[in-house]
Amino acid sequence: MSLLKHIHFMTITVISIGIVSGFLFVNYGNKVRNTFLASATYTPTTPTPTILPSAKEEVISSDSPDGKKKLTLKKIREGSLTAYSVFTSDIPEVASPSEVLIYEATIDSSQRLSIPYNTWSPDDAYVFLQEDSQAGRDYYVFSSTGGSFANGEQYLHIRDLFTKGRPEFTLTEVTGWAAPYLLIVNTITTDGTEGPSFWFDLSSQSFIQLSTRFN
Amino acid sequence: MNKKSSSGKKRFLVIFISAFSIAALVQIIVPKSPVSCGNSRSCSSHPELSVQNKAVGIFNKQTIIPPLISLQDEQQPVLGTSDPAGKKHIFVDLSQQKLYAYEDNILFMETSISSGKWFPTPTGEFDIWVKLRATRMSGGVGDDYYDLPNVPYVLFFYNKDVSQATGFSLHGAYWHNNFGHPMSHGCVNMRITDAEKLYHWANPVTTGPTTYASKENTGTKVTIYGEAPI
Repeated sequence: MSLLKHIHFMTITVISIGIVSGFLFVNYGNKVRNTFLASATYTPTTPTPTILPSAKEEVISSDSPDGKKKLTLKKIREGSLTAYSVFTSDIPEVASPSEVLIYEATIDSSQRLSIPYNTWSPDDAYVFLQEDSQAGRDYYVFSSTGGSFANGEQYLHIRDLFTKGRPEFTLTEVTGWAAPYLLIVNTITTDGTEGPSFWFDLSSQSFIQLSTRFN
Repeated sequence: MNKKSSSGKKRFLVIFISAFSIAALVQIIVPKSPVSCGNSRSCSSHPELSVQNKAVGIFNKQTIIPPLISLQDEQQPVLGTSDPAGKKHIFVDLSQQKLYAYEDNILFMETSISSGKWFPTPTGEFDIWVKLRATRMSGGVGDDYYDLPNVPYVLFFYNKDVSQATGFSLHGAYWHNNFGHPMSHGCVNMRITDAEKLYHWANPVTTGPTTYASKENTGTKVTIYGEAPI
């Protein structure tokens, strides 16, 4: 390459590197500034947890997002077994008790029932519970009024239904409700990689595969 | 030869620094493209109070019954309690999908939210400019089309890059319950009970179903940061 061509080539290269560096420098600076803005300014105070009434008895509750209903889970541990009772009630409580028992069971203490954060359907018609055990995580949907589903079932066993309908994927998490009758289900593939998200449609008890993942 | 190579290196250094500086200046001076509106069909620089108790909503192709709203049952505004806006600050962490509200370094609220999934929630520092007790929001196309009356407890925010006309806000959401995960078309969705608390706490101090910020009644600052897991 002649000297002149070499100089031209080097000039263009240097200009290009300068332009790219300039853009990257300013954009990186903006990102760092934005993430720093809030994180160091305030120091949050940690609330003190309330004391449970008894080491063996535990009561957990979750209000519906509109503040009109409460889901309560009571558990009493007795040795290797734990007795659960789950009921719904109105907020505020009216003069006559409004509690509706929707589920009760005594199970092995190695299994644990809990209330997920997004348990209530947006219309307060349904709730879903989470069960953790050595076999993994499971989810159950109940009518908040204690009613049964189309086939007379007291609850819908989500993992069981999913495994039967979509055996090529493994259910990993139910995160919440996309709409009053649609539960959001996340999955992994058989080789352990991230799988698609599904909607579980309560009305048809079917799974609808989604083109976008709900993380 | 040495002099020639030395002057050549200096020339390239000058060119590099010039190009770097010009690129950096362009990024800073040239205005960024305006942020598009979150609710594409209902955006307005004058959002209106709207209570439509007989209307039904549509979201994810599902018919949604909105909550009934009675403005007569609303909490009456307390006059003469205008708090300095500087004491309160709202932070929205998109990475964790959390909202924190502080007053004088004391945490008033910590809760899960749903930020933009179909359209990103803008980041930066904003001011609340108007609060509406309820409004109608609509947008999207095809399967993504939504039309939601009686969206409750709406706090619109803006800054120099995100104009008032873009319609971004914090508000209650009655159509889904998947907080802690991105779900919206750009706004910050909250549980209705959380939105109600924030609405009455944040400035401008509520004076009615529609409250505009003013010099005497400035809006609370909202800082939105992080990257949503979309």
